[in-house]
Amino acid sequence: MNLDLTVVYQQFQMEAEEQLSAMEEGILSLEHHPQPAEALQTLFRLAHSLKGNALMLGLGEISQIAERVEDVLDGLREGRFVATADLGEILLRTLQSLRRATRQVVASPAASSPVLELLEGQGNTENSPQPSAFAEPSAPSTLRVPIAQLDRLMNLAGELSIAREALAQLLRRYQKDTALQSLSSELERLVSDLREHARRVRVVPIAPVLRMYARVARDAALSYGKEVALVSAGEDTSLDAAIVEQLRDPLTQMIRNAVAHGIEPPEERAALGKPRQGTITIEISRVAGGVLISVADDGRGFSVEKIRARAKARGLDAENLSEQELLRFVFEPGFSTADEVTSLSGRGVGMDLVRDRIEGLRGSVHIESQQGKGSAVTLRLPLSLLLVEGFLLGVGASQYLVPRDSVLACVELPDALRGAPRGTLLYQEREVPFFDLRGLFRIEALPAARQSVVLVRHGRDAAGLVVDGLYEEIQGVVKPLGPLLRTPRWFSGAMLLADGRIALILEPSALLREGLSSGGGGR
Amino acid sequence: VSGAENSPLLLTFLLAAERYALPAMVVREIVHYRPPEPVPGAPPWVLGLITTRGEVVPVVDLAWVLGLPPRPVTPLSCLIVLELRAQREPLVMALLADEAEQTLPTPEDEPAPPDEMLGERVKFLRGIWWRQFEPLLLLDPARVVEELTDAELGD
Repeated sequence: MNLDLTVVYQQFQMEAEEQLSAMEEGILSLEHHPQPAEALQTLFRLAHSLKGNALMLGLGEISQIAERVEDVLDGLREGRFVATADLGEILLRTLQSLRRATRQVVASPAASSPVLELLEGQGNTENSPQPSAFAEPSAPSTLRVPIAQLDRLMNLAGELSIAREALAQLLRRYQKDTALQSLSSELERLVSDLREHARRVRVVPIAPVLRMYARVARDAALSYGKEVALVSAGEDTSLDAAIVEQLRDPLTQMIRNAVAHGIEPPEERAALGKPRQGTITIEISRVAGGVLISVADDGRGFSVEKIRARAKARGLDAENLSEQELLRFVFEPGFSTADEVTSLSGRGVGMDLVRDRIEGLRGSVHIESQQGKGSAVTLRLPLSLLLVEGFLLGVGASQYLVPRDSVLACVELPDALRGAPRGTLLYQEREVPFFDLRGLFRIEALPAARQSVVLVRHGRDAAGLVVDGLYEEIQGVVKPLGPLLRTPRWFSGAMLLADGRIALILEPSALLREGLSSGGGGR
Repeated sequence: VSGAENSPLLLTFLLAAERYALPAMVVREIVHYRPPEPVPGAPPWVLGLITTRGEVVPVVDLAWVLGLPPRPVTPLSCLIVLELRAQREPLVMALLADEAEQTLPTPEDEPAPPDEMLGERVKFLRGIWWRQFEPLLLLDPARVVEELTDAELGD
């Protein structure tokens, strides 16, 4: 194979280093608190990711050891093991040898792993590490820049353009000075160039990343005894590097799930009249203000009844839930419908990881399934984590931004409905629920003489947010609200406007959850 | 040099007619009061957001946190912008104070432990120095952040 894997290995090493450090820290804290379920969950996820990454690169033994660590953590989580200092020590030593192994990227890490001994009750494997199967990484020809630095660059470019806009507004007062005016236009051009370049530096093509998943699918197919072809569409799409980076684990998990639980074994497929080889399709497409990534398979689909049974077994009232509602359980932690624990997925750590990661990126996850025909998991993501495009709108004296990605249409509110806290209106021959944001936001000012309705995506349907004014479409840098404003979840951040004011960025799904509920108004 | 390290500077400010001190190290800047942009549904101790140096910073109603009555805004009102760490993430917030005073070296004597008379405020104070029968209350900004980020819902 002539593929240059150096970069891929460097990335694996770097990531493994971070994962191992975080795990060491976690294990050390375990010794102080005997039952911290959350810390164990985090540790488990880290081990899971490390295992997955190693598997993806065909580093079988690193992934095996990571899996054993996972087993021990699972034992701790379920109370089969007790977090003693001894066990902690063994885990730490194991991580140490994993670290050595990943640093060398040798094919055979630490032959005598304490965890392997502990689990197998024998410690007689005496292999010396094999020489590296891969050449020492050569000096990189490109520069590796921490994404945080690119973030800073982008932020500064954003600030610069706001300052420039303010300057331009001041200059308009001195219209006679043409030299100043032309300098200002020149500055405008430069700033927008800078901003575009800062954005482009962060954008990487998705194709090389997608290629890696062919291997994920192949390896998973081998270990489950399935026949799978991976097809991808929309490879020429480019995405923000931070998003691509963050997508790696979720996509790996989604593909493994599709192979493990979606695609049937070849004989079963043949008996059903399907081709023996299952197909998994990754499709990437640009939509307004965002990107859709879907992983679809032509397998058996989700067993809704199994999910219902599992939900009931956990004491949930699942009798009257619809198919869509039941499918949502797939994202709950520990909620796996796999009948057995397999080496690759099915421990229920997968889909909650996927959802958490995607929502952390201002995205959403959606499952569609047709029993016997297959299922598709679709991720909807913004084009950039730092930039947001949307419509500026007014409620009372404040301005807000609604991301373009979530907007279906803007219409005028019929006069008869003006001032109504909530109701329904007709949109494309459908009854669409709406509510006035002033109620939820507790804004006292009277509604504007003419109100508008922003129709936003609400699952597969639409819902309306009533606002006082609709202004222009703008683009800006997202400023996080920070830990002091974790609640309410109605806003995903804030942005600075050219006049120096602040607009909060609306998070429509969270707003709809509360605004449409019958209680309304309050929290 | 070691002397400077031993007595880091404090910033003193007034709130509800009492004098407080903060380690000057965590103070990024002090700006005149400007009306913050309100955040609907925010916890009661968040007065809103301001921008400074291209950042969006939440304004914390320190009087509310300390259990004091609301403070009127006067021409002397100021926002003390602090930069701290919460769960390893840098955290920037602005405290609303009645008036910023001065910086001074940390007194050499140990502050007395805050006494119960101060009510709920005690948990946010690291100690008290007495100066001419007037208390100088040493605020622990990390405790304030801890309390505010722990409180899942302020109300």
